[in-house]
Order: sequence, then structure tokens, then C-alpha cells
Amino acid sequence: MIPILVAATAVIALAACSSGGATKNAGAAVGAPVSGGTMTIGIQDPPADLDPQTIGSFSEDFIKNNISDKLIYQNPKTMALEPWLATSWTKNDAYTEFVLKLRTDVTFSDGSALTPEVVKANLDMLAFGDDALGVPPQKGLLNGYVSTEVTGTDQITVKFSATNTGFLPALSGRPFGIVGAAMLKLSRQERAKPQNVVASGPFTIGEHVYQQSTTLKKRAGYAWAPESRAHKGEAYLDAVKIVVVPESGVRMGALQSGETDAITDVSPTDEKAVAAGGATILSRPIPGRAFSLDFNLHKAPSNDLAVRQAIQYGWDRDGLRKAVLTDSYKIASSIVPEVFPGYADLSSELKYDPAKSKQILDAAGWVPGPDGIRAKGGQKLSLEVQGNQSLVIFKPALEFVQANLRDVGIELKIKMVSAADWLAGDADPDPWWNINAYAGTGNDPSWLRSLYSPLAPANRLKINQDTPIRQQVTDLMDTLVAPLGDADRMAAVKKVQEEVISTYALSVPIFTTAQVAAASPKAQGLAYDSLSRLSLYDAWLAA
Amino acid sequence: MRLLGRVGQYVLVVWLAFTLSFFLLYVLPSDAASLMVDPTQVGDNTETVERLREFYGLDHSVWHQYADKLVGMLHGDFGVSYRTGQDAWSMISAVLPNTTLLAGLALVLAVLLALGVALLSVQTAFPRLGGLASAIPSVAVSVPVFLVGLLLIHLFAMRLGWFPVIGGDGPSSLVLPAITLAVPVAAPIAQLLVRNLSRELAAPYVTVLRAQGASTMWILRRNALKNACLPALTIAGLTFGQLLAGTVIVETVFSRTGLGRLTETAVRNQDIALIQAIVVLGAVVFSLVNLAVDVVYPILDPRVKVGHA
Repeated sequence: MIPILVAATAVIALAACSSGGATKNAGAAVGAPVSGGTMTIGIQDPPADLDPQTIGSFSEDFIKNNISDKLIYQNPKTMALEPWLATSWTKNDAYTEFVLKLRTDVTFSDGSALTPEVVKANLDMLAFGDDALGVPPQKGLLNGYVSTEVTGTDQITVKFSATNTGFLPALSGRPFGIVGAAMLKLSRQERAKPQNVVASGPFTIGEHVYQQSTTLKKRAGYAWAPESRAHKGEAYLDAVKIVVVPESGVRMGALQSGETDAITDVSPTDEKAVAAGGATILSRPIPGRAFSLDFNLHKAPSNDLAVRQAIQYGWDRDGLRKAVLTDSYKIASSIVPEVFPGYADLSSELKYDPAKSKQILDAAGWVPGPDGIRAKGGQKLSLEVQGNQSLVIFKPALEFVQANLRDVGIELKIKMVSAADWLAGDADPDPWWNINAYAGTGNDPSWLRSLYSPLAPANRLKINQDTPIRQQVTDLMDTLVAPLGDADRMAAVKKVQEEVISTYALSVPIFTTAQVAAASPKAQGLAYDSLSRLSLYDAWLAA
Repeated sequence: MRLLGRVGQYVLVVWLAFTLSFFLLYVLPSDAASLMVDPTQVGDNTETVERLREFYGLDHSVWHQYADKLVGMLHGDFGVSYRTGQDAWSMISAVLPNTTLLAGLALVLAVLLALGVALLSVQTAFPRLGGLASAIPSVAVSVPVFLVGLLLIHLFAMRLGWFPVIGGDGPSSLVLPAITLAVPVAAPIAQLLVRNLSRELAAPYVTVLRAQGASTMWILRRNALKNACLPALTIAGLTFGQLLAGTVIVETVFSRTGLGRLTETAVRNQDIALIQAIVVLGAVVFSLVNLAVDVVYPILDPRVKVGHA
């Protein structure tokens, strides 16, 4: 038995060496983009439903973004809204009426033209859904939608019954891919089948084998990319073969062996090895809410401001960065990452100061017990944490914070739950946890209101009628959806971040999540869109 | 008549598998409708989820849903997968050939492996080698399948480049997965064979044969092997279960499509229609395998008659 074990260990050691630094690539100069070829990309989760008007997994959104266009383009560098299928737009001061001018030269993959009527039908379907077809409405993003009217040969007017500050940014994000009229007649189930997708993007879906691969083909004659893209006209690549490789180590091997030109979902533990193998790491923060500790204000001891502030100062940012994170992830300097519109740098508030942490707790009457954990009036300073485990890195990060907080006398009890279980307990008015640790995707400040406002359906901070700060938080979050001018709006977004962190300590942000991919020297021009999904339009294959 | 009773038992097994899997899925905290909404899009999805639930009938009472599913199943209709919009049976039949081929090849390999190890363990020329061989099955039983798979990929695909790292195309892509799957399947068969062979070789009739001048090989070929192999048939059902369970991991590690992968994602997405179809298919095949053993065994070994075993 022993020889076998020895042999096995030797093989593992050999394998580890080979994935370390054997094939360092000479950084050859890269020329101008060339057209043609098929790029192969390895992804983690199998894409199933490719309907551009549903919100799906990362891999599904990635494909949908490359086969469909949106009315408005959000520039990933500036996060500004730019023309795409809509050439220009105006809004009234109350944010209840929007007039959009549309391009007249756009066709869908079935040859039909993009007309104001089709766009109206798209928006109506997104807002109202269709019970007979089983298509659900996207109510959260189209609150107060009344109607869309065709007000010209190239123009529509969209009306809302109440202020909707998030409408224009929403048009640039999920799930607002514009589809052809033929697709709008299909049932939810028929729309889920990839061969039924009719859209106007730079790629169309070719062969699709569930759980194996999806081939995207270049759309001939594509001529309506946003101005700020790196080039105009058709995509460079003839085709992109997206293969499903569920195991992260095997995905890495497939990149190194050249079986794939790029891979997505590179885990933090693999980043070094991938880079050492000659590949380039491509990462971008995911706009939205940083991975943060959100407090339950309905339950002791998280309803105590002193406790929340002590937690904010009680853990070592630099230590976490070194021990758990890679360069792709950043210690949070606010509840949102730098790429988020209206981001405020609060790093001066968000710092490690154990002395201050202890001082706050002392002043609030939390005294250290025999085991080091503080107590007050017979209650231990112990908090239950629900951690969302949609990313593997969440758990070690939480455990690091847990160890630090123990030193100042705060006990965290961590329970990681699957994304499904997390979602199922989301709207529970009286959950078991004191702290809810999760991250979220969103591209507009109005979205933050659904996370923090007591009036949002889930009321995630569990701010009840008897919570003293209920009115203040409600008013604060309502400024996110108030009809303000652009400058005032950004000022309001900054104020929200400051108050969430400094005044009320509703959230303790930990780090900003990121999407991490890796590309071989052959795969050039891969970039991220504003929601950090890979964009293939400017991608090309070097010889 | 006895056979009919057996068939009745197996129908009961299939029904129980169906019912159990339904209620297990039902008591889980989330459902397919809420899983259709991306958890990172933590906006206000309440109404979207509600409408999806209505459309898929998930808002009905548990008994209503159960009755619907049962009636559907009896008509051969398992419904449509939430994720792909495709008919559950058509999704299964699309990947079934892949898995059948993989499992078939793995089974052949497993039997050869088991036989080889068993014969090696009872050969008398090199006693130390024999002792080592007899230890292999118990080691193989306890090595996780994914580790075997990853080791093989690292060594033969990534390092030596003899086989592709990923993919389900071509015969060369079948080699490593089949070997990986064969290991856990071969181990219990080999354990049984090693034990039975040593018992047979110690039996009085072997001593008599040896006294008459028969060589070990001759004894093995003519008598001992056949007697030792027969009990291995009884673990055919167990072997089948191991093959199915193994494909879940092997197909994931080797990026192949197949029933195992389909099962894994269906469970993760709580894709009830698909899970139910897979469970029932598994139960039916499992029952058929055992039924076949029941029928074949008395033919191979006249000492055993159904019902008197």
C-alpha cells in the first residue's frame, strides 16, 4: 500500500510543478487587429436559457450581451450612458416621460427591421409580461410604467405614473436586450431555447449543445456598434466556441494546453499559476454592492450602533488583502466600487483601529468576560452571520474578519448558505441572523434603495416601525429615486454612502467582487462591459 | 407467479423513488421559480418570482403538484425543464448514448481489472506480489474518484499531452474517463473475487485436484474461477449504482455531457421535471438489472431457485 501512496504523491508533485512555471511565454509585440478565426473560451457554468430578456448566470449574461444590443450603451470606462440602438433621448424634470430617437438602419438576425413598434412591444412585454405566454414582468426595474407610444417614424415616448430615475440606466443593463417581433410571440419555454433567439447583436447563436458548447457566429453586415467601441462594423472573429469546463483546475489546464484561448471564472487560488503559465489575467470589479456585512436592526446586539461601529474598526484591511485576496479584488473603500456612478471614497473612515473599537465598546458598557468575549447585562456580544457562498472567496474573508473581531471581544458565528437558500430567506421579516454577508450587481444608484430602504419589499436591514432611525433611513434612500438634476443626484448618492457607513453604520463593506478571466497571448481585445461580462465584439486572434 | 411478485416489487420501488424524490425536492427552502432569478441581482424580484411560480404551477398545493406529476409520469410525460425549455425526456435521450458508452467501456475495463488483480493475488510464484495485489482493491475503494480523474488529466493530458484535456469528441477523449470510472467499480468486484478465489483454492476439491497433479492455472480455468465468479453477479445492482454515481463526478471532471452532469445541474437548479425523469429512469434500470439477475442466476447455478435462495 505504501508504494502506491508514494507514487501518487509523486504524481501530484509533478503535476503541481508542471502547472507552475514551465511554459513562460515571451511577450511578443502584438500588431493591429486582424479579422477571422474561431476563438475558444472555457467557462464554468453551462448556459441554458439565452433569452436576452431574462436575468441569468454569469455565463448566460455573457452570451446574451454578445448576441443582443440595448437601446442605451453604458461605457464601462466612464459608466456614462451613450447612444446605441437609441441615437438620443430626452426626459422631463419629473423623470416620468422619456422620448427616445431610434436608429433606422438596424435589422434583427431574422432580417426584420428595428422599428419603433418593435421597441414598444419589447418594453410592454418587459413591463407587463404575458400570462398566457408565461413571460413574467420585470417590475423592479420598470416601476410605474404606463405605456410606450410611437410618436414618429423613428421615435417613441415612454410614460411612467411616478418618478423613475433608474429607467435610462436600466435600458443599458440586464435584461433589456432588444429582441425581434418573432421572439415576442413565443412562450417562456420556447424563448428559452437558444435556436429561437432573434436579436440584433454582433454575433448569432450557431450550434448549441447543452452542457457542452455554444458556438457564436459573426453577424454579417453588423454596423451599429456604440461609437466608443474600439472599432466599427462587423466583429473581428468569424466564430467563438464557448465550451463548458466545470472544474477550475481542468479549465486552467485547457488554457495552458492551448485547447482554449481564454477562460472565465478564474478562482483566486489559481490566478498566480495561470499568470505564471503565460496567460494574461483580465479582471474588472463587478459594479454593484461590495461584499459587506449588513446588520439586522431588529435584533440585539446588531441593533446597537456602538457594536456596528466597533465591527467597522475592528478588522485589519491590509491583513485581509495579503492573506485572502489577489490583485483582482480590492478592499472596499465604500459600499460600492470605484466604477459605480457617484462613488465616494470613504477609506479614511473604513480603517483598522482596534483601540478605537475597544474604546467604543467600553463606552457603550460592553465589558470583557472571562473568555475574552464581551457582555452587557448578561448578554454576550455574539452575532450570528449568514454568509452567501456564491463566491468561494467569501468564506475565508469572513473567517479572517471573525478572527480579528475576536481580539476586540466580539464573537461572530458564521453559517454559509447556498445562493438558493440565501434567496429563499431574503424577505423573512424576522430572520435568525444578526449579520447578512453578500454582494450584489447593479449599475445605477437607484438600485441601492432596494438594498437599504425599509420600504423596499425585502426590507433587508429589517428596519421595523419601532426602529428609531426608520424615518431617517427611508428619507435618505428616497433621495436615490428623487427627480434631481444630474449633479444633485450624484451628491445625493455620495451622501447615502457617507450616512450608511459613518452615521448609521448600516453596512460594513469588506471587499469589492470582481470577474476574473485569463487570456492566452493569442486572444486579444477581450474586454468587459459595464456589468463586467466579457465582450467579444473587439476581440481578435493573433497569429 | 414468483416472477410476477418480483415485478410487482420493482414497480413499488420505482413509485417509491419517484415519491421520495418529489417530497425531498418539495421541502427544500427555495424553488425553481426563485432560482430563475439571479441571486446577485438583489433588486425587487418578488412579483417576477410570483408570476413564474403561477405559470409553472408551483403555487398549487403539494398534493395537487404531486398528483399532476404522477399522472404525467404514467403517461410518459415528465414535463419541461425550467432551465432549457426542453422536454425532460428529450434532454435525457440526447445524452444517454454518451453515458451508456462511457459506462459500458468502464464496466468492461472494471471486470478485466478486477480479474487481473484477483488472479495476481492468488498466483504462487511471487507471494509478496500476490499480497500487494490483494491490498489494491481496499485502497482503490477509498480513493476519491475526482482525485483519480484529476491525476490522470494532469499526467496524461496536461503533462504528456497524449489525450485532450477537455471534451467529448472522438475515441481518445473516452480513454481517461473510462479508466477513472472503472477504478471505483472494479474495486468491490475485485474484493469479492480475491476473497472467493482464495476460499475456492483452499477448498477440499482443490486439494484433491492438486493431489491428482493439476496445476494452479488448470484448476483456476476449469473450476475455481467459475465458482468464484458466480457470487459476483449478485453485486451487479450495486455495480450499476456505482457506475451512475461515478458518472456524476467523472463527467464533470472531464467536461463531458451525460446523464451524471445532467443530474448534478438539475439538482443544483431544482429542475424538478428533469430530476424526476432521471430518478425514475434510474429506478427502472436498477430494477431491470436486478430482475435480470434474478432470472439468470438459477440458470447459471442450478442449486439456486428463485424463492428458495
